[in-house]
Amino acid sequence: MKTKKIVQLALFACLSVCIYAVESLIPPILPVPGVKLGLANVITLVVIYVIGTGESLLTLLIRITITTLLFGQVMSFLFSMAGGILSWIVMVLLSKIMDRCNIWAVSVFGAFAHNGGQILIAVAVTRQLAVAYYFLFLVISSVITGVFTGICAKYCIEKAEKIKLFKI
Amino acid sequence: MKKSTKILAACFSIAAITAAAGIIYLNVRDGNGKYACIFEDGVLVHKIDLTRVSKPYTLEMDGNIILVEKGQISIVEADCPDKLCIKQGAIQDGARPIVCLPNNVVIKITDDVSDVDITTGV
Repeated sequence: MKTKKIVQLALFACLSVCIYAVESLIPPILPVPGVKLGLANVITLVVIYVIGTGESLLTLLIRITITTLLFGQVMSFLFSMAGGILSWIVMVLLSKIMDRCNIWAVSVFGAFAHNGGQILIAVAVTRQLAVAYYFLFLVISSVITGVFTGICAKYCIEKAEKIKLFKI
Repeated sequence: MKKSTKILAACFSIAAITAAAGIIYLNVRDGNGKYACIFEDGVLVHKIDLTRVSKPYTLEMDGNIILVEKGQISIVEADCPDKLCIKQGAIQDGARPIVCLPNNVVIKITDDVSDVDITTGV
């Protein structure tokens, strides 16, 4: 890996950790585990569209590891990993087939996958199917937060593509 | 706006409305359970007949303190940072469970009479 690329990915990873840190200061709106804005996903989307698939997985994994070490509880690593990787797979696949103007929808599907993965882990960990009740809340919150972060990502991607520094 | 955008927007709206309808349905449906089951790490540790609670008392768990009252149950103290389980409030029926993921505690209400005599918690 070229030094330039390492620096570039480190910058993106750092950005997403910072966004996550700022977002974690916002108190939860609903008393439902998993309802949050998910702004760090903007960076994942930008890296998927502007840099590449493998690089986006790397930045995602770095972000999850660092944020768990800094702010996480023991349980949250498993949840972040399951949700993060599942949503990454969905977003990479959809980014290949969906029209460029529907980045917001890619983000919503990513949010669905993220929350779906987390609920699966929650059901597995607690061994209670009743926990899946909260998935209904997460579907609604996914649509709202997914559209918001998707629109943020769209504008970031448009700007980022004009920056020559990202083309290595 | 492109046609695909409109179709996607419609699909997402339908998904959100269906989920909202599901929540309303589950809460309106008469879940008249009377046993509160407390699970820790997926194992049933307490099963309490809420109709027979004469005066409120608390149960101390590893990281949570649970308040048992006549007809309802809630978590009043937790050692996790977000305190989501406390904010979930008290539950009276089988519609929704109380979940504390950091301590892996789930409380749900059923009217299932099997294995009642594990512990009454009283």
